[in-house]
Amino acid sequence: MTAVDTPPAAVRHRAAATHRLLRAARGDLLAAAGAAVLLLIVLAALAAPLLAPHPGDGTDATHPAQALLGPGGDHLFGTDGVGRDVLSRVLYGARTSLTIVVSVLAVSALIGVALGAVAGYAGGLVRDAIMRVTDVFLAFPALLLSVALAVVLHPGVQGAIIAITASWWPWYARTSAVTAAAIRSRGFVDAARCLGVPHARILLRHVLPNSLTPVLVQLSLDAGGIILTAAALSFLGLGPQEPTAEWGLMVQQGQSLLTTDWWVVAFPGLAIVVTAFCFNVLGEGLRAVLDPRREAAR
Amino acid sequence: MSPLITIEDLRVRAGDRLLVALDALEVGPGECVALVGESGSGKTTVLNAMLGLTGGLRVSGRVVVGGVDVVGADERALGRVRGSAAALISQSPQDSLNPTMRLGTLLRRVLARHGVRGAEARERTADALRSVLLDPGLLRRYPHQVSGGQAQRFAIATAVALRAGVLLADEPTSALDVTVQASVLDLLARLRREQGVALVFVSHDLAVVSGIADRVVVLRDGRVVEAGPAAGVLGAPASAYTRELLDAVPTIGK
Repeated sequence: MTAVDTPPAAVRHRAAATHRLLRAARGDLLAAAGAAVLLLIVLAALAAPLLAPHPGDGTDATHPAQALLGPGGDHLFGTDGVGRDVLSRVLYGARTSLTIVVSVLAVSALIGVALGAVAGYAGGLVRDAIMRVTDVFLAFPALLLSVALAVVLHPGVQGAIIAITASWWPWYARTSAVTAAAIRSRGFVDAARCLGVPHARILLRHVLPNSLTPVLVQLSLDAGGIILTAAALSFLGLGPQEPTAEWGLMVQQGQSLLTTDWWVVAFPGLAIVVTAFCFNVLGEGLRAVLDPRREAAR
Repeated sequence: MSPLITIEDLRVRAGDRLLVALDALEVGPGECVALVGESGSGKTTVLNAMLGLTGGLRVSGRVVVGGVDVVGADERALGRVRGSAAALISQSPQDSLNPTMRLGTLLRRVLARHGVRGAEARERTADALRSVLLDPGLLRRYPHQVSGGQAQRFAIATAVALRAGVLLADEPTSALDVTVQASVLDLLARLRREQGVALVFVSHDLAVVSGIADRVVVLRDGRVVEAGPAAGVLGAPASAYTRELLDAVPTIGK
């Protein structure tokens, strides 16, 4: 981990953060564009009931008489097999997908960083115990573990969140354990210990703020992956269930219609690709800003 | 005046190996005692023993700092000695500063740890910065935004603000470039003169030592080879080892 011996993310709070992000935004147009599109997606998700031309279609309404109408007119993105407006469902689907992403990231980061920081700071037996547990989780291919868990759990949004989180948190635990271990040997941690500062406080004040940078970058890079994993679960029928609007689920339901009524699959698919892509370019951009080497070169 | 540091029969062992055997050493107010010797001669170990920083080592004898015998003292007593009676000035000051905190926050927290808060803390901070010639605006900066020399001055300011009677300087200038080195040494000399701060100076740079120390203790393999007034030891060394160390000082045109 090279991020250790340079000022980490927490340094850049408040005014400094805004300034830095603005400068970064200028420097990295792609990341800025990604962030802007993501912001639009978030706003669209929040305002889905207002924006959707047929809000009822986002939830449980069906209109079999209007099934599979092509894009245009009243239905900009066409309608699906039971006559629901695809645009409305894509908008509502954004809510489901973003809920899953945010929940998975938040819970994974919380569990992972907390365990990792404790492991790295404590070292010895504590570290071994925690790291062996994370190793067990990492021993399974991520998607396989998520699928297996989703099968066991009740399929739905909650089940999907738990299933994905289970395969995601160990990465954050590993990352922050390594950083925390490196920070533990720094002079300011020794100094705090010598002055009798309690361990919990050292962890909170000195170790955690200095080990957040790599995790922060990881989080934004992972968001795209989580969207895809969630879509994969839904596609396998293990995620959110009908009539919930969810992009992966919509793709799965439309797959048999791909050759004849392409719009049923294309628009939710596009939404998945665009969102995942935006998260990735934003993550790359963040990594570039927070990368110590690039900063030193300035 | 009573000495600030008194060492008697100090023995530091790692397992069966004797790392340091120092029979007697006193540091009085305003004095500068230099510990010199090659790498591994035990000079840093002696310095660390003065602060009870000897985890994992067996220590015996008496090391009285600011009226507290740090040998066998519990962590609470040590926490009061460290910083307020004797403060460590390390080789790499920047490493001792948490990069996520502004210097002002760091200083405030350290003072608060030692029970100095509010108006008193602000006053001491201002005085300390003035005495090390640092701009108070520096307190709003983060550690990575200041130079090595500034960071070292800040570390010294922290010791001044804590009213430490002795500064324990472990190679305080070896990570700095030569001009900054000179200014930090000037600062240390001035603090001795003006505030009566005592100095224990660990260095292998005898040129620096001859400029600042009153007394010199030459260590080799943890034992005292030679000790006495700086002029005597460095001017007319009695032992071959000291002469060797002196000969190792590079001189221009030699």
